[in-house]
Amino acid sequence: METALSNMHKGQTGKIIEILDCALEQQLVAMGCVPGEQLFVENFAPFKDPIEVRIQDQFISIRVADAGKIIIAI
Amino acid sequence: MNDTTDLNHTICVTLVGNPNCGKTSLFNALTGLNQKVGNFPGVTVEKKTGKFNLHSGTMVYITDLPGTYSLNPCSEDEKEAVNYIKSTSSKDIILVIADATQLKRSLLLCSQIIDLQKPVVLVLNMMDIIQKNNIHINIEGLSESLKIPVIPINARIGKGIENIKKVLENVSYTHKPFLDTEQAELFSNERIEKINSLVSKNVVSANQLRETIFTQKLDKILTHSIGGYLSFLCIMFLIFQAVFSFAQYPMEWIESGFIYLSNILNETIPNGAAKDLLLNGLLAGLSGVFVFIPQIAILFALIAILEDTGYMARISFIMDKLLRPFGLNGRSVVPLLSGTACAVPSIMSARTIGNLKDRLITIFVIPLVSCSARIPVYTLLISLCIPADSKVGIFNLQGVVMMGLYLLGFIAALLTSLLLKYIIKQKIKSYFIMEMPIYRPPRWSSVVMEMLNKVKIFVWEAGRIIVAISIVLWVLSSYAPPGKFKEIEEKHKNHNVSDNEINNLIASEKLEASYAGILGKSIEPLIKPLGFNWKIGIALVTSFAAREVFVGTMATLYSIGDAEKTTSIKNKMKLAKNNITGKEEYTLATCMSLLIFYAFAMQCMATLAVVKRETNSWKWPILQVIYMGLLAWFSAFLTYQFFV
Repeated sequence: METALSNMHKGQTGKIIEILDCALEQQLVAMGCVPGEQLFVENFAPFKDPIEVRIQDQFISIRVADAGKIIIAI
Repeated sequence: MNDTTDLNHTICVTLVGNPNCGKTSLFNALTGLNQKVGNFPGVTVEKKTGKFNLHSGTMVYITDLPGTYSLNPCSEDEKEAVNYIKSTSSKDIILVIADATQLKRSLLLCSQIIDLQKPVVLVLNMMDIIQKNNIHINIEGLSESLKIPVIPINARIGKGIENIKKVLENVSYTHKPFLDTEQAELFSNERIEKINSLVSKNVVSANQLRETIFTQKLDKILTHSIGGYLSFLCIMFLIFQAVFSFAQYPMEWIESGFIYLSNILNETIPNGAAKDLLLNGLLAGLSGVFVFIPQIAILFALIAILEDTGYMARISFIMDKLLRPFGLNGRSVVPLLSGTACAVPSIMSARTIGNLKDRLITIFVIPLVSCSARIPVYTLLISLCIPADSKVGIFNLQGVVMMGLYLLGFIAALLTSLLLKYIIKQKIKSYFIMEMPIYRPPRWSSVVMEMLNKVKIFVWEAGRIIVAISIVLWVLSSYAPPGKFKEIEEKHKNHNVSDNEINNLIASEKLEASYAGILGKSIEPLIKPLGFNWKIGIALVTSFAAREVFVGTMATLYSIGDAEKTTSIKNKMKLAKNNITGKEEYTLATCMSLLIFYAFAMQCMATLAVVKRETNSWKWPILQVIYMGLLAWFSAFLTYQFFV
């Protein structure tokens, strides 16, 4: 099943399928957030935004609005 | 030694790496104290250069670039780094430093640089963490696949530095690109797959990182919806305590040092204009610069610790959502709060904000936050109009007013951001994506270096302006249209000149007759609606260099020679009566209006200079002067009308 990262819950795992925004993709890829990688929803900030995800051994904080453009297969 | 070695031989090395990978530690370890902090031409991005010797005697010039994740720049810092890398000559060596625990990401940058056809040396840092976690990296394999030298180091304790020097002795360019394709794209799938296979071939990881578990545990508290904010408040409280109370002692030493120095000079140098310029212009200006050093040093050391331990990212994480409606992002929090100490370093620290629009907004609103230079003004005026024993409930009214002024500053800053959010247009799209580094102990040497660098920048950037303006103000207040000063001296000729009272009276009348006095009087119609007299006008003119000058000017105007005795200035001001109406000059309405004026007006040349430097244009500082001036005038006007 495919869903946007913004719809995922804490503790869920998935695989990055596609990043819908080109500029966003460039920034994410530079930080190791690459299509094909496993992703783990680590934490939410208070007020449920931003999301902290874990890819490999690193943690990245992404705003929910941007996470909506990241398509994940769960 | 072979005979090809030339003692005059030099090589240039450029240090490149991701943010937070230990680049600065390595730079410090290589150069020691032989370093210089400057700027890239025309922009505000910091450029550090240094030099060191190899064993053969070869001199190495090294440039430390701002951290970057790839050759596709997202922030101002990254843009400069990328331009610099591209502009280096083909003989210059690019030293790529990689966080060995984040190898994939570092290899992305490294592979992109290899494709630029530059001689590259890869340095793997944080090998201690790798070993501690039973991860094995095949250094030789990596070097063979990349066709470049790979050196493992631990920059924190300086291990492996000698190896770097050895390798730098003979680096040759192999002309072997990372991707064989003609058009090597920065982010092609091919590149990412090749990196993934490289890493999986050469890195054997045994167990989960222990640090990660510790970080997760700590984050349960530090990013918790209640615990997170509580701990943030506690940490901020400690920082302010440190900045305001610890800095107090060194500040007093510096002040008394300057008093001592000026006393000595006063006795040794013959009277005259030169002496007056030296003592009241230059020395006064210098002491105004140096007195802020303790606060700036402490603040920047603490910010460096927050950044280095990884806590700064958590502050941004929990505050981002709260600040977003105002057009700011999580990274704006610390610069804004540091504004309570001094706007100058705070504006410099806004550099970490990647998004240009958010950064501009943050820089624009920082001066609205009440800085420590306003404290002497606030204290004097509050004590003047509010009796020390008046209370609101159980709270001391003076304290409540003081806190109100700080709150007002923050509210004005947030509302102004909101306004700017709709005004400033942004060309490039930028996202708030941030790495959350694992927690680790601070590297003390880099904390100290960071602190020293920031102090150096402050003294040089802000210091020049403050000293220059102090001298201009000295000229304005020491010279009058021809004949005026003579008249005053003539008038008091019959009095005993050694009498202190008379000397003070002459000083006060001279200031009134001087160009500064003329300026103060000429703006009187403009400030009359705010309840200010021409004496306040003069103080507004002189305190344009720095707000705290207000107190000193008031002291001179109300003819008290010694600026130290705040209580007596207070009493004199309290007794001041309007010559015509015979009413008190410093009523509640006037004091309140003046307080509000000082809370909002842009009276700080140093801040303007730094904003110009950081935004690389006079547009923003000029806008700040106009906007804050109007805001101050109208707010003071309303306040006066309310209280009168």
